[in-house]
Amino acid sequence: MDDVINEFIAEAREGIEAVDAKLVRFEQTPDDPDLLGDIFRLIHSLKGGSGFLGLMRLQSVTHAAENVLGLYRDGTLAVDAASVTVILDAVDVVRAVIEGLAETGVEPEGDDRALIGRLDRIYAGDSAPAATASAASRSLLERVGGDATLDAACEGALALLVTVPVTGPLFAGIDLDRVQAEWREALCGVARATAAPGAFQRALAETFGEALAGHEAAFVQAVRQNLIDLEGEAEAVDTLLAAPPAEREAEPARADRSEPAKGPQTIRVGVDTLEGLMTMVSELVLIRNQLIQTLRAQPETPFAGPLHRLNQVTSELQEGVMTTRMQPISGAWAKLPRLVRDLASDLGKRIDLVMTGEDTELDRQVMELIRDPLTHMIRNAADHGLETPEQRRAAGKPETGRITLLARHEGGAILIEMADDGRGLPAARIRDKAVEAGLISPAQAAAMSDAEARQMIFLPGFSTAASVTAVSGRGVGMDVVRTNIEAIGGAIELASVEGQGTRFSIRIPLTLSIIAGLVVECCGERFAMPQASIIELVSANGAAGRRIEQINGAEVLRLRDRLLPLVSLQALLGLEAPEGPRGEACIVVARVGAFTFGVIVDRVFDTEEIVVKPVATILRHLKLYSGATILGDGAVIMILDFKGMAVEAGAGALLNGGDDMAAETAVSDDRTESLLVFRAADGGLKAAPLAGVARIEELEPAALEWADGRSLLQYRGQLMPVLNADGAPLTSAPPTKRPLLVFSRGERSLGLMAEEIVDIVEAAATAELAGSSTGVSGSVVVAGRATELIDVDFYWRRCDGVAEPRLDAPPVETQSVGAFVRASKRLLVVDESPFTRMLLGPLLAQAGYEVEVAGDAEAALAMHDAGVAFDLILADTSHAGPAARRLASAFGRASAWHATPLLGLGTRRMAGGDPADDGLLADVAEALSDTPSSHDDQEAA
Amino acid sequence: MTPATTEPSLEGLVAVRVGDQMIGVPLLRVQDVIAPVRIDRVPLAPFEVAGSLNLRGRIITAVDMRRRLGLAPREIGQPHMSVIVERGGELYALQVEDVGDVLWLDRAAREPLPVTLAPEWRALCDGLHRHDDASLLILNIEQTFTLSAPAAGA
Repeated sequence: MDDVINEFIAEAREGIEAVDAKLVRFEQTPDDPDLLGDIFRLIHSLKGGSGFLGLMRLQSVTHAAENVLGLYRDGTLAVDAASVTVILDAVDVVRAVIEGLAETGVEPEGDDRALIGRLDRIYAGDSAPAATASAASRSLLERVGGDATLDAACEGALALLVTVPVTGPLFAGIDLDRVQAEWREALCGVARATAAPGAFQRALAETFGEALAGHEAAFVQAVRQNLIDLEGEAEAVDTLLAAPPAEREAEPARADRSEPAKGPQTIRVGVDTLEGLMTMVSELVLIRNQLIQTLRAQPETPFAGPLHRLNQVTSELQEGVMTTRMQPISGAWAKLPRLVRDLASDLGKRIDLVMTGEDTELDRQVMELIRDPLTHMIRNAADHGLETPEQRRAAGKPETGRITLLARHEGGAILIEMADDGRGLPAARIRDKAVEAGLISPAQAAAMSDAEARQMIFLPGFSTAASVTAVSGRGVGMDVVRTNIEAIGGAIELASVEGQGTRFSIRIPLTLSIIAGLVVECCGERFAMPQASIIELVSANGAAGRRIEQINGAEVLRLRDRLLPLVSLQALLGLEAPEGPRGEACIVVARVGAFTFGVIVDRVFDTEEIVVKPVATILRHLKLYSGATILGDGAVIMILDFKGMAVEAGAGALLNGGDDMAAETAVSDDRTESLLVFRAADGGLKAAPLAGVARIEELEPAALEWADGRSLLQYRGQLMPVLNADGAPLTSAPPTKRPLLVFSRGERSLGLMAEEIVDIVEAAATAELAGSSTGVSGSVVVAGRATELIDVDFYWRRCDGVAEPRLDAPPVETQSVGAFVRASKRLLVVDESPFTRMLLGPLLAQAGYEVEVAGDAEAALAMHDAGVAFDLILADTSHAGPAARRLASAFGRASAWHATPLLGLGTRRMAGGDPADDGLLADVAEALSDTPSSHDDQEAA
Repeated sequence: MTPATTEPSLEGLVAVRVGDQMIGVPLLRVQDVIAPVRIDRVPLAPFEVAGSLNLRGRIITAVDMRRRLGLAPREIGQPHMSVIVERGGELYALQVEDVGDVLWLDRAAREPLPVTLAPEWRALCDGLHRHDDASLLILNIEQTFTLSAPAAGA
């Protein structure tokens, strides 16, 4: 019995999903008989099933709904919005009952009298005038006892026929419910005169085909007997079951088309079965691969032929099993037409939903996961995106708004586009909202382009709706949509033109169980990386100026004028470097959210289609892995998770917020550097070069300790000094958790407490020099607002001076010594990279030099022409290409500087505070000592 | 057919040897016994995890019982066997020195663990049997896979 109910529930759910969409379509095209036939059939079979299972609530509702649908079908009731709404309400009740049934096994309690009353009123009210029009047919229907009687008769007849030895075998492999529905259809059709006489016999022929021969009479008789038992008039019953006129044999295509038996033959298979099949096929593929490898070694074997065939068959089998997991995306879309219709009537708008590419197939698992985001986006489009008819008219647009949904395959991924032709995203209002919600500062808002501002709708807690409606506007939304889509390896993009509409493009992988993976090697071990997150592969062999550089111990790569933070797979995984020389490092550039970083690996192999297997439970705490896979040679390798790597590498805070803007501005200006903007305890905004920040931790107030005037924190087995942004130790623990910027130098760490992390921005770093004793190394304009750029060295000195006045702090010594030796030497730093200028300027200033910086050769030349003289010029001569040529020619013209020594700034000098600074400072000192009096000479000259 | 069905008081144990100790792995959890196969290391994995292996297309995580029991690591080239056990729908391989017979022992004859047994062993075992003048520790599969967290947090 349970099985029967379960089967019924499964079928009902499937049917209901389809009926929503069909009813909405039917409302628009009421003259489509096929559509109506489908709807009618569904409601009808629900009614039949519920009657059979004794589900009284379901039966009464479907019965009343069917009556109204019957009127549509007979053409006696015009299809209008009001009655379709009532039918949809009935469908809702059916859905609720089915869900309740699925949960508890019994029909949930409920009072449907009002709904049934509405349905009955429509049925009674409109059927009366029509009754005369089709008096004959109506009377036939009445005379045989009505729809319900016909259904019951079919059921009774079937029950009998199945058990009778003569006809029983005919039903082998035939879906009884479907047969019952077909018979009932046929009989009702004849009774209503909407089908030609003999429809029942045709239905029989279609169901049983050749096997029917000689048994037709038995079927007819069984139904007849049942009808008469149910008190149908014998004469009417005979009319109903009369054989078709001979020439009508090949009756209208219409009837045929609407017969479900013509539809695709499907069977229901458990997902577990498919998964099991899939596993076995994977296994088979591996065995095949091994055999093929063996075959390569022994080409002469007699197995060659069969093996090739096995190879082929296996591939086809694999493909076939894959497709069993694929479903058309219409499954995820089925509810949308109904949703849009309801939204339209709730919101008083007119909305057309145009869907194309419903047949596009994707993995059912993926489909489940995009269903909710899609629904949410449609809601948004209907509520916020589209205007009311009046507004649309005023704007010169058609009153009916349009939401288009499109799906198509695009290179191993599926692309879903959802567009509306509404008002578009108002950038100005988004800015205001964001400022109001405290997501950005007014200055940042002003500095943003419209496109950047629109991206903020993906921020948590954002809603542009002026009022919170029942439909949407509660501010949980697009961020969740984006998170969900990214969670399955997808990406979402947004384009909007104010007044014309908004378009979202979602790209998601076809399946989660087979992905394109890049196989890499590090220290002799292989790993797979999901190709979807990989942007490019870069070799860092020093050619084209690409070389791994060190900034304060952090590895970076200068790639197209941007600094790319690097993580070493070897360090991340704690691998041991093999003996002997290693090949050139290869860098896999990947993007997680808006954070782009490079992973250093030893070697890159091919991209392969890999089958993703879950990580074993006892290894699941390792966030660096998202799965495991088996390679063609049988080896088991781990699939690396870029997000886990980014978090592990210390970019965790970056990934959780504010990254949108960084990404956007990064696109708009390539010549910028990453800055971490934070708010100090005194409320002022400060920025730190992101590359210098080793980690961002959360400071637990209770964990703070004080010893001899210092505030300290146990951090990785060491006591780490914690300072305020003004360089002083904390005087008391903060009331709540605070972000802590951790800087590290060699083995030591330094914590800088911030009030909050405001943002990570890519700012055009217009560094200016400022006093060196205040902890400020310059100021930067971040989003139109002057922000102090902190001087990390200052904090080191503070904590060294206060905390550890010991010998293990060489930078302090050299700098303090340098400070009095090189009192008034003037240096010029020429470098195209703002980053270098920002770093070197303050460094040299700290060492006691007067420093001027020039962004390019022209600026330097301008200084020359203005008669400024220097003791030493530091220029970046490592760049080959136009910049270096310009520099050379500029210096050629700068005749007054020809005697001034020039110190080349190789990239190796790019160090922010390491003992490596010694090298640079020593070089500077040495270069200056060679020309002890050049400064004075030139001044005099 | 098997004694387990006819004699509920008997428990089936697959006798394995780890170091010099005989250990009984509950028979009902054992899926397979395999000869050494290629094992791929999993970086950052807990110390006891020897790596992953591929058994007919399924990925199996191997736990080195010597390490799990705190014994000195197996010498390279030393023969070993793997007992495949099921746990929570996943398969794991227990690497042991040797696999012996299936023993049917009277559940009632189980003896408590000696109190002097090292705590890491006590946690892993449910009791012991005396068999052929040797003690056979009864392995608790669940506890076997409750591993220490990796040493470094970073």
